Amino acid sequence: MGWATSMAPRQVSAWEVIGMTHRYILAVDYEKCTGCHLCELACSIKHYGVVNPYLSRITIITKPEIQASTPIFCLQCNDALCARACPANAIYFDEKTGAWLIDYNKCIGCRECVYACPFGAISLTVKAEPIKCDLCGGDPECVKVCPHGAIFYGPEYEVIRKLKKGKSVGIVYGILEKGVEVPAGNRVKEAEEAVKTLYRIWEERKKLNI
Amino acid sequence: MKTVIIGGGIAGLYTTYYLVKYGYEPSNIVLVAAEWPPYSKHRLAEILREKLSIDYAYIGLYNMLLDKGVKILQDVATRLDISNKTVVLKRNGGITYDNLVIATGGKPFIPPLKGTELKNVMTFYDLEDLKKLSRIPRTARVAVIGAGLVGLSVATALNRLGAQVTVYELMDDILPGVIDRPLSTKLEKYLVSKGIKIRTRSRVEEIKGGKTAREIKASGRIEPVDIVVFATGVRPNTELVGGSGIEMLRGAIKIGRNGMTSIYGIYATGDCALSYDLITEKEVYRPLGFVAAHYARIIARNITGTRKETRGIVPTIYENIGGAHIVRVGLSLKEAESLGLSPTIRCEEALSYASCTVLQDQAPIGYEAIGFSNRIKNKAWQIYYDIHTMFS
Amino acid sequence: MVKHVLDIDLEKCNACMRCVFACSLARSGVIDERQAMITIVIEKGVVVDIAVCRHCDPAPCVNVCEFDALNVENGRVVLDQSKCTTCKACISICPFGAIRESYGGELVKCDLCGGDPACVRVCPTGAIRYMPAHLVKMRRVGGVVRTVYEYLETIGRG
Ligand SMILES: Cc1cc2nc3c(=O)[nH]c(=O)nc-3n(C[C@H](O)[C@H](O)[C@H](O)COP(=O)(O)OP(=O)(O)OC[C@H]3O[C@@H](n4cnc5c(N)ncnc54)[C@H](O)[C@@H]3O)c2cc1C
Ligand code: SF4
Ligand code: SF4
Ligand code: SF4
Ligand code: SF4
Repeated sequence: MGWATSMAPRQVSAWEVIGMTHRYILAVDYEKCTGCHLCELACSIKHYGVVNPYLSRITIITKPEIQASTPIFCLQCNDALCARACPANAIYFDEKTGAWLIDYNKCIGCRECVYACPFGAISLTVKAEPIKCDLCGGDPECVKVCPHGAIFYGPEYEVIRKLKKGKSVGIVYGILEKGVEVPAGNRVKEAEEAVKTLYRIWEERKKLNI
Repeated sequence: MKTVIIGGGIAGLYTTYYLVKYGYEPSNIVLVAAEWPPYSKHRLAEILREKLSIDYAYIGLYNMLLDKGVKILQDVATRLDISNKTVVLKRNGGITYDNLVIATGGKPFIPPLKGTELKNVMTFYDLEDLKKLSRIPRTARVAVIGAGLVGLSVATALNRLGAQVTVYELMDDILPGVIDRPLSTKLEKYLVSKGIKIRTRSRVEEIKGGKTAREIKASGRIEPVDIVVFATGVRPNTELVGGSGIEMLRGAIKIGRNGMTSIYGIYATGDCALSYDLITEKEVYRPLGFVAAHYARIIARNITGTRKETRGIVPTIYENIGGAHIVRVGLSLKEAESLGLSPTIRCEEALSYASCTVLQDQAPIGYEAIGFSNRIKNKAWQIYYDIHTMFS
Repeated sequence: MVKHVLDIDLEKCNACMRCVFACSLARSGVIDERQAMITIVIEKGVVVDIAVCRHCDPAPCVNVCEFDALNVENGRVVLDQSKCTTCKACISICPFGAIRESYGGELVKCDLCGGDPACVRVCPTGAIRYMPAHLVKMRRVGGVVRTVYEYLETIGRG
């Protein structure tokens, strides 16, 4: 958008700066995601203590016609467009977790980052305050809650391996599931466990008294 | 408690406004103004260019102050009697005060040259100048002396009206002290393409003619001219204060961080006074509107009983010079150098836009930009914020 | 209170200038680009931006106005002409070029038409919409989702 993006000096890859050999990434296996929206709830509970998908930093879009769900989440880009576009220089790279974070003291709520992100990963609250994935400070809640193991977090090489495996498994599932009406038993179990995790986070949040 | 404000320019007007806003009893305020109603000088060039009525220059705020019951005396203060806390007026005799705000503004500076008293030699400073300039023949040959913000705005306005304009500037570049190279070079090219002649590094030596100016001699070169406009800066208008014991520096009133002069209960703001620069914390003379209003607010706070001090000002300047947008926030390279810093400059360029960041020890202290598109999108806020968090 | 924002989708704008004319007409009764508070910025024949106030919070322009002319009312940044002296400090600081000088030094700045924006009513392509802030994301992700579904369809899950 405009010159702000094009004019900013090219940033060195955030990972180069901190000299990490392998970055930690959050990744999603699209085919495993069933669109249960539990990650959205976990995210909003973790950050706000309420269940509200609009306050979630991960968003699941479901298209029932083709039975597919797509999680929209921040990829923590190397050279983040949101950070480049921000006129207040409010988005910075957190070396500890590898997440791009918003400094709310600097943010002027202009929505430029929302428009700059090619993935639509930055949301706005009802007060038009931008929110984006902060990797929960290095311990992503969505990963813990996903009953289908669709979200991974870990060192890049490990996640990539899982994704590769996931993809083939996903395709196999896709073939197998055709004609199967009841979901497989282990899936039901996974979902129950996820709900339990949600309750656990909920209880933890209550203790924090937000 | 009675507060007397001398001067009905924006400094005086906004001190009055803030006093009323912060709860000072309006009937205890007396505003002594030689010119009334108050107007904004910032609009003069635009009014000239668009041939608008001078009503556009007036600031609507004064009606509100009249409604609230502020007393306005259209008069001239001739003398200060500090021991008796009295201001002597030309027509209304003496009035006493508890707090006094001096906002007598500035006066245009004309360098001491031969021929400046001739007819057709003028300045561009107030409504009278605007009226005179709007009556000049359409295709007059105009010499504008001084390529600062005022000089260039009046030059582009007259150029737009059809006059043949030549701008004379003593320094190497136009807008000296406002922006630096390479931005000033870009602006110069742009103005030349609009048909304005620019003579940098040229010292005006003399204006020749019988009763009216006919020729101008600059750096040895003589050129014919119909009108000469001096835009060579502003000096403080402080005749009133001279000899009263109020501390001054190079003709301007010295003020503290709360806007008070060296005498308790007497404040000063606007073009008659000095101000502080936030970055260097030095005293500077910046005859700019927002500086006047910044101190007006501080003074009103102090008079109404909330102690308030300011560390200083980060300039925020924008001007549209014949279609080129100029932005300057913080210090320019030259201004920083003159304030004793040793800055560096880093410039970037994009389509129809160029900008420079001025750095001191790697930290930004200024930003300047020039744009030719129909809006200016810039990084000024980022730099402004950084300066504020760093220096205050 | 849910904040409503002007949401802009550059890809949809085809520079018909209707918003510009509607804005000027709604605000000053004449059709004149210089009196409009919204600007279509075209560089080399491409719409590169729709410059209109974002109603920032906290707003840089409100921060620099020493004349108390810019204030926040109901989450909207509004300009009081009677207090503005055209010092143009706000123009220098606004990151979006959303404040401009009109005739006689009068400034033009969007005030969201008090909650019923004229520009939105006339935009034929839906490039400008007025919507609750939290729904903006849904519009942004539309494009991404489309790409992913196309991909999924090609690998045969559809
Ligand atoms: C063409 C032009 C363009 C400008 N553009 C900008 C701009 O874009 N942005 C910006 O920030 N600044 C700009 N400035 C600078 C700005 O106009 C001044 O800084 C500002 O007007 C100063 O206000 P003031 O009230 O101190 O002084 P003045 O406006 O000079 O007002 C002083 C008033 O006091 C009255 N007075 C003086 N002595 C007495 C007395 N003894 N008794 C009674 N009354 C008295 C005078 O008649 C006058 O009305 C511009 C200036 C000019 C000339
Ligand atoms: S909304 Fe905040 S974080 Fe996003 S671009 Fe604007 S100032 Fe930066
Ligand atoms: S004018 Fe500019 S700085 Fe002010 S609120 Fe609008 S977009 Fe933000
Ligand atoms: S131009 Fe007007 S609104 Fe803008 S900062 Fe100056 S006085 Fe305030
Ligand atoms: S909301 Fe109203 S004022 Fe703002 S740009 Fe649209 S028409 Fe103009």
